[in-house]
Amino acid sequence: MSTFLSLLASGIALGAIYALGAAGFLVLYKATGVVNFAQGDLVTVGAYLTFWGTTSLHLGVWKAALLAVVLTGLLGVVLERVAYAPLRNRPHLTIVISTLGAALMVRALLGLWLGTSPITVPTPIGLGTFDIGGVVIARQRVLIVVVAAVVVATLGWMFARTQLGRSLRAMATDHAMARLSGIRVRGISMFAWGFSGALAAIAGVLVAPLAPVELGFGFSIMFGAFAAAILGGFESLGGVVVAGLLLGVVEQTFGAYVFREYAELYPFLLMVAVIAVRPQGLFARRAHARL
Amino acid sequence: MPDSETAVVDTSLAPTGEARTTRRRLYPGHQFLVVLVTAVVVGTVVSALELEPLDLGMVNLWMVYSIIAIGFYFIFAVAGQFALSQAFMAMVGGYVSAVASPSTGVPLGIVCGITTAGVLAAAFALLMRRVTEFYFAIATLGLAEIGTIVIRNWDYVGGVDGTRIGIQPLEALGRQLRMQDEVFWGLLAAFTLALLVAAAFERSPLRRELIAVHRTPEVAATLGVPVTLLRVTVFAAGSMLAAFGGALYAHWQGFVSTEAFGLDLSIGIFIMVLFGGTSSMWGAVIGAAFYVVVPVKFEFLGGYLDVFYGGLILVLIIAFPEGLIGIARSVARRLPRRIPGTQRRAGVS
Amino acid sequence: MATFGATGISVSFGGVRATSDVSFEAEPGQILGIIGPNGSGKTTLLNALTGLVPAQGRAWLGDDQLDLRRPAQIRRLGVLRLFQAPQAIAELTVVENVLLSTSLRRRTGFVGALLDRRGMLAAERARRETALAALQTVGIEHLAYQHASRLTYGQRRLLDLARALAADPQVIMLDEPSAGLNQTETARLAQLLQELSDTRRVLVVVDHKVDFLNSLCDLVLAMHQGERIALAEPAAVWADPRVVESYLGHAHA
Repeated sequence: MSTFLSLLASGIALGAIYALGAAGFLVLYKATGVVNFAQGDLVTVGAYLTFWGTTSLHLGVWKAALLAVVLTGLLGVVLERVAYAPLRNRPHLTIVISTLGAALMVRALLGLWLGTSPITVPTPIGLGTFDIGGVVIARQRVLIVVVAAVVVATLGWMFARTQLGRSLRAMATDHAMARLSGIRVRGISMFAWGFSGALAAIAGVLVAPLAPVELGFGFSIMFGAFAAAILGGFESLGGVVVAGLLLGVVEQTFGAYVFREYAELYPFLLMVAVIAVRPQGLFARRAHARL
Repeated sequence: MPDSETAVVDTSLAPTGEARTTRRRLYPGHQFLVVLVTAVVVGTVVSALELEPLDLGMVNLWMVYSIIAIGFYFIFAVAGQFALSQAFMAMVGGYVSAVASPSTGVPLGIVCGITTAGVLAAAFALLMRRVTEFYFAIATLGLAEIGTIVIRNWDYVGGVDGTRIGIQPLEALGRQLRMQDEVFWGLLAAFTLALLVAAAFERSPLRRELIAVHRTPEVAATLGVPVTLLRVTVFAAGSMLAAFGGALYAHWQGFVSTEAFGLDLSIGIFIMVLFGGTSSMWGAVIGAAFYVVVPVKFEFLGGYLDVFYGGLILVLIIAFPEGLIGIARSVARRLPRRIPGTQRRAGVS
Repeated sequence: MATFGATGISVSFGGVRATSDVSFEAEPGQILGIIGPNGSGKTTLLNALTGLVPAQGRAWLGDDQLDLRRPAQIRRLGVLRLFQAPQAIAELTVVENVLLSTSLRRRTGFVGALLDRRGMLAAERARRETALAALQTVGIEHLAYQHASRLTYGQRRLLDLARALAADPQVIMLDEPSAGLNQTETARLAQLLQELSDTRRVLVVVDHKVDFLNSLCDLVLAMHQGERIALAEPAAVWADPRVVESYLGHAHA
């Protein structure tokens, strides 16, 4: 039983990561209507920059993580200028392809700069475990859930209460109207790209310390996050969070008992299943896919 | 050729009434002839040049890539489905043929590989028939990753950790093709066959139906064009071409590994078609040549090769979405008319 | 050629009745006009008859029942409709656009394109004759090999009509065919429709312009808020007080 609870706990932690990633997709989709194929690589960048911060700049882990998040956010803005802005009036698929090209460049540059062998990203909380009533949970996983909860709550508050959040929601509903009513579309677009980049980096910083990571690890996580976003209907923050947690738990619990050798295929399998079975998300009433 | 007719009189621009009927060729150009001529030219030039095995290997690789890329041309450039599964389908062709050949012989083994890919692709496309083009693209990526993981872990098909060695060489007319130059002739025959098949599709009602389904699916549906059937069959056919290329590759090299057919190759195939030109199947052939030559000629790039490719995708998609052939066509269109006052004839398609 | 009729056609969208219990019948060779202010349910009626929206009621063509849930079956019976906006596919040539609708009866698939080229080419030649004949009937045969993107608005509407003709229909339903056409084009269209109806087809024309319908139609169906308020020869319909009130009581384009 305690094994199951341990699995449940790590499932929740994984789900929190998926929720963070999905929130990143959601913010960008709400603001611009597109999906960034480079999102997974931004997760990797966040983790790698933390590593660089601690090893080359000799910063403390918290400072390095903060720096990583900020820099990745800036990278997001750069991507907006290079891969999105020149194509604003072209079909969505074209933009997705250009973000694919950008993802390729980002990953290649990262590999050239920091090497292609696996790295171990440090954590501020130590590598030990907590023992809560017989259930063993890695400390890092607890950190993941706590930080993710704080970030998501802040996001929710931001969407609901600030001018920025209102502008984002207006842009999501009607882009042309939003521009006419004076919302600074270009500024918001850059902000959204930067912000979703930062969210990706946070996810990367949180999940990387669990095991040595290499250049493609963010890409795999992106699939789970994307599945969560689809399952959440690309609609509300609450929806994608619930979907993310659900997927994380399913992956960890099923993955321990079914197809154990093929565990790495779970995020992809979940995503394909979601697209095939319920592309409109769990909660939507409409019968068509959103993107 | 039975399908060409001599063009009669040029069209007049009289507004109504007079039935000045024009009978043009059903399909433009002489694609079958061009394919055969190309094959003869390639064969002649290569034998005349007496290339080193290394260079001959590049020519062979070009032909294999062309076959795979032409499949992608139909799926993406004609039918508008951006799919990232092309390299994976090549992988399926390679592995299945490798598994089957010891029992069935190489030619039948290749057929098995092609059939498996076709069935897999058709089933997948059917499953995804109601899904938007964006979700479809992501789903093909998922399919490719899932399939790769399965093959890597399934020792019967995938060999040790995804690598199979000891694959039989290609056979033709009863003899095995082991040397690079022997393989060349076998691949040239396969290349020609694939191009003829592609030309056959281009010169058929399928081309306009696929374009209609791509651009305006609702209109196509109202006209009675079977949208789902076309989407599924084009995806299957394109994937089968990929499997053909992959199987040829496996028997040529004697071994396969999952790394050779990863996402990098799928992106590379996309670059081939994007660079060469999306308006004609020859774009895939040109792009394949480009993709084979670049790592060799641009060796100085080293690790920056992927940066170059990523940047190339960005530049192409932003500025030259029609690729090389598109650029050539715009240049040709802007050339001045040779005789002032004559009307320029519009092409059939 | 057979009688085209419907009875009790009712369509609701979430509690709003778009059409209520509409019925009509038209003989081959007749032109039925449908008139009514905006929102009276004219387009919805066409949508219902071609199976594009769920509807109650029955519709028939001669002895055949139209299955209102299956657009493909309706199409196969020869009941075709044109839409308000021209539906030319810009990336194809005019003749290719028309050829798309000629495959209704014998399609060439992937296998045919590879293995039965002789048969495919023969079929293609036959289809091309049909397509060019249809283009000739509507008068744009000289544009056959132009890309559809180069056509004017009026020419695209003619292309739509040619596409419908190439499928050899028994019933053609047109939705506001004179919209966007000038005086000359409208007159030409009326003449063309008259010629078409002489071939014993049933034409159904939804439109706003009273003069246009007046000169053209044998029968007019007047609608108001989803209901049929009149079905008679044009003169009787224009004189009907309910029709007059429905028009005076609404701003119409």
